[in-house]
Amino acid sequence: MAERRSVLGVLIGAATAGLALVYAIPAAMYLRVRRTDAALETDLGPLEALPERKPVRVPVLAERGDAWSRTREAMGSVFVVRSGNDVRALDSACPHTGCSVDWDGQEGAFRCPCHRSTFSLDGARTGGPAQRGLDAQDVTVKGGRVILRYRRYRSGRADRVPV
Amino acid sequence: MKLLDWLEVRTGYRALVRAALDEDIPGGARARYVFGSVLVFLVVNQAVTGILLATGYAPSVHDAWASVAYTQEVAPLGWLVRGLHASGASAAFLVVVLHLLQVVWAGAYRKPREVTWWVGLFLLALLFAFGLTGYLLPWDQRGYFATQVATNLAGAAPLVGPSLQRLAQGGTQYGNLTLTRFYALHVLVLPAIIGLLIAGHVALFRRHGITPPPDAGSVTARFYPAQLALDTLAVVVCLAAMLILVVRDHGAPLSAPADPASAYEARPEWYFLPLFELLRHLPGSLELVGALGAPLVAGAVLFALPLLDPSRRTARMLVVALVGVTVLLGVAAVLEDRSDEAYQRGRTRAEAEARVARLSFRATTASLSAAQTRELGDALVDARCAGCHVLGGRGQAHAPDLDGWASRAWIDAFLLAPDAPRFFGRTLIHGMKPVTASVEDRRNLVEWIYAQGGSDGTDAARVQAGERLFDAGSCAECHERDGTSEGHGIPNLGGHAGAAWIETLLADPATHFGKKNGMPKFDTLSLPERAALVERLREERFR
Repeated sequence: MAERRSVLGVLIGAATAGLALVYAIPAAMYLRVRRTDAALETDLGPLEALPERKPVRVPVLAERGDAWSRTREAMGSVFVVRSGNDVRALDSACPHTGCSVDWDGQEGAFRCPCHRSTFSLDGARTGGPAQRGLDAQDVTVKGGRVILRYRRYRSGRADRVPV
Repeated sequence: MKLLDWLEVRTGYRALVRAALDEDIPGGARARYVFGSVLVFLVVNQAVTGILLATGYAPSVHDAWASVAYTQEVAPLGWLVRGLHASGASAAFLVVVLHLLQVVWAGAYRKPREVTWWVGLFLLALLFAFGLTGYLLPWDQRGYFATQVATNLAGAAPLVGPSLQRLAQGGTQYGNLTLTRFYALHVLVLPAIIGLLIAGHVALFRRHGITPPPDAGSVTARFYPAQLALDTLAVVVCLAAMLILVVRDHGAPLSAPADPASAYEARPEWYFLPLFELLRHLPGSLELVGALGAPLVAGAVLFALPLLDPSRRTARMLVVALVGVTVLLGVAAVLEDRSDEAYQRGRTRAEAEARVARLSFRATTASLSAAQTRELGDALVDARCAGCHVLGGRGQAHAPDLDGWASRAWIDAFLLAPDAPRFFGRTLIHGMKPVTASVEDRRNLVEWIYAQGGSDGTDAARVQAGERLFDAGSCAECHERDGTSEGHGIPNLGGHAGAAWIETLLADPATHFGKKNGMPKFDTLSLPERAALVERLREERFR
């Protein structure tokens, strides 16, 4: 009798564990977030419209698929700096904690309003708690227009790791 | 074991487990006692899958359908989660009826178990409330129109009706507030109530124990292990049946997004069909009595059962009759629909619209495979073309048949009899005389017309000869062939049946056939829809 009890007990336990797995496995797969390519192309307009060596803040508008909806929305902004035919774009998000830095035309430097990190025109860190310089973004000039491939990096660390 | 001992000293959990497992089963374990446990399992199934679904659901008019389509079509195994939730609801209705029958059979509603019985009846009513509120949430055609019927009936109730309807809808008509209110009811209010009631139901059941069967004698077993083993087996069988259905149907139905302006043959979920059938056969003046009265009377009879306490035989017959009539009404509803051709046509169209909507949604998040493009094309033909054109044995014949459309055989037969019913005979487009050229000339002409839709696999010599015939013969007197100018209702044959030609036809049918063309514009098709439909139609060329 005791033996029958224990055999049934094991069977019941196994069946219950099996039932739990039928839910746990699909639930884990269903909830898992898939990595999407975070680099988004944005047209920043014609190169000649940019002033020489004066950073301009440009919003990064991107067609973004957000689960079931698709919207064109601002993902952030970049400072575009042109020197002759060379153009570079710096993420306006401070690499320290992500506050939006601003260009101080008098001082000729980027300043973070939160923790007072400062950066030079080329994005290099010149002071404050930031662990690295402003994140340079991938820009190319196609047919006279500046095309940005925007990518976010993790803040609060010295190396550049995509989000 | 040390850890469990530690836990035991702190919580005394072993007494709880023992109390749960050592329930007395007078007369020993029986298969007919399993239904309560299966229902508990089903409630857990609804909770787990419901929470998962809620993580991907947006209760707003603009997002609800898309978020459910995302779960159904895109999220990994989302269809499985959805399917288990829907089939779990269906299973709960079936099992709850079996549970009720078993209780009546055993006379378990009698003194001192009246309150257990009443709480059980209330739980049954809650089940319907869950079904009703959940059905609307996908904001698809099915849910939208079926729920309209329910709220409108409620609104017709005396005195409180109109304000009740406004309260449920969050306004005088359906909108965002309807969804948020139904959602709040479905995921917050009803689960809280059902949780408390189930706890009460089980506590009361344990207080009074199982009603000893007449043949119990002095045999008494414990819940563990034999009855628990039977219960577990029943749960496994129930889940297996659900999984089979869910895999077969790839989830749960999702019709096209709710479109209040459309014609839709609304039907409630199957567990409301008996009531639906009752309404269909009651004259308008009695509708309210039927819709609200019938469930109330049935509920009242069941409620009064322990109070009236008829003989066991009478009670059994009464409840079997009640369940029997309900089942018969449901079966009658299905049979009537099955023999109703207009309904079946509407349903076929609605199913095609649903496939179009789901595949188009998929196309916005990922590119479609060749098979999916083909499926979208087929669905579009069924949804948008089959009302007038016959293709592949489906559709109504009010316009030219599309079988083999613009193939060599089709063109040849058309040239011989343009006004035949399968061509333009059923339309207002008339006036072309049959072509009387020799067989050889006709073959050349056919080859030239065929080549307009794409020169792959055509006979260049015949095309040239056909072109000369076209220009020299009477064709060119009426038809243009430069592909640009409009020919006053006479089709310009340049590029005939090519992708661009079909796209122009869909966008504005008058371009090719003038104002006499009764075909409506299909200018709201999305890009992937247009591409799929054009591809599907061009497939007929190769038949």
